[in-house]
Amino acid sequence: MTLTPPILEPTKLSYESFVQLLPFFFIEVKEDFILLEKSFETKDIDTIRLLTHKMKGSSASYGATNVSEKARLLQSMIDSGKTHSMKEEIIALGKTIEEAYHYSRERFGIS
Amino acid sequence: MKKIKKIKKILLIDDSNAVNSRNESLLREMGLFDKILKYSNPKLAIESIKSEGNLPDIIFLDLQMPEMDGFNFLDQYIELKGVVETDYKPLIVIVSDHLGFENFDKSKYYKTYGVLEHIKKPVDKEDVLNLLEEHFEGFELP
Repeated sequence: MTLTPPILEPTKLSYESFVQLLPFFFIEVKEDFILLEKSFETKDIDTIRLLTHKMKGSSASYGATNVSEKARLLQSMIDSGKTHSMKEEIIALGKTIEEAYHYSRERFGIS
Repeated sequence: MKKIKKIKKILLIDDSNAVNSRNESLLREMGLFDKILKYSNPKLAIESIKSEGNLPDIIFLDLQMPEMDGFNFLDQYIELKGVVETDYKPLIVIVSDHLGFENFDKSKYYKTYGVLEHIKKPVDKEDVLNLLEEHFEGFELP
């Protein structure tokens, strides 16, 4: 697994707070991903845009840089109108979220 | 520059509960704030300000939010000034990873209402300390 691990720095959260909050981040980002998939099915581009923006920001706030980058790519795809390969990018985002989640379970012992 | 002993109240407005909780934790760890209120729905933040009858010292405001975005929040917030008694303006900080020219221009309109800063996500302690040093004189460090 070649993930960039979450980065904790002194100017950011304490380790204890981070580990306590991490499960809530994953609950939210997974729920947002489900909504994203549904929005893709209904071609609701505005909702997709809002959700990718939200996921980009929340994952960056928790140091899940891989997820944030995938969300950013999807957002820029929408903004530039290049939506022909959106489905593949959404699938890739979902995989990246799962990888980050499993990594966090192993690394931080979250459930 | 405002003279203030300690930051009494800060509002965190972001459609992500995870971001709000993370920022709340970060601010609590800094020990500089009495009350930290989180809102994932900016409409509720407006209602809260109305019902409390006093303005916070600082507002951290996300821009892109469903139903009511950051600028719509500011439009409603401005209307509150006639309702809420205050002799100072809260510092309003736009928190977004990329402001863009259009949003930067738009935010200038709200400068007189307290929108004076923009910080990038994720918020860190250094950002917060810089804001406090810049805009609040006399706050107490723990």
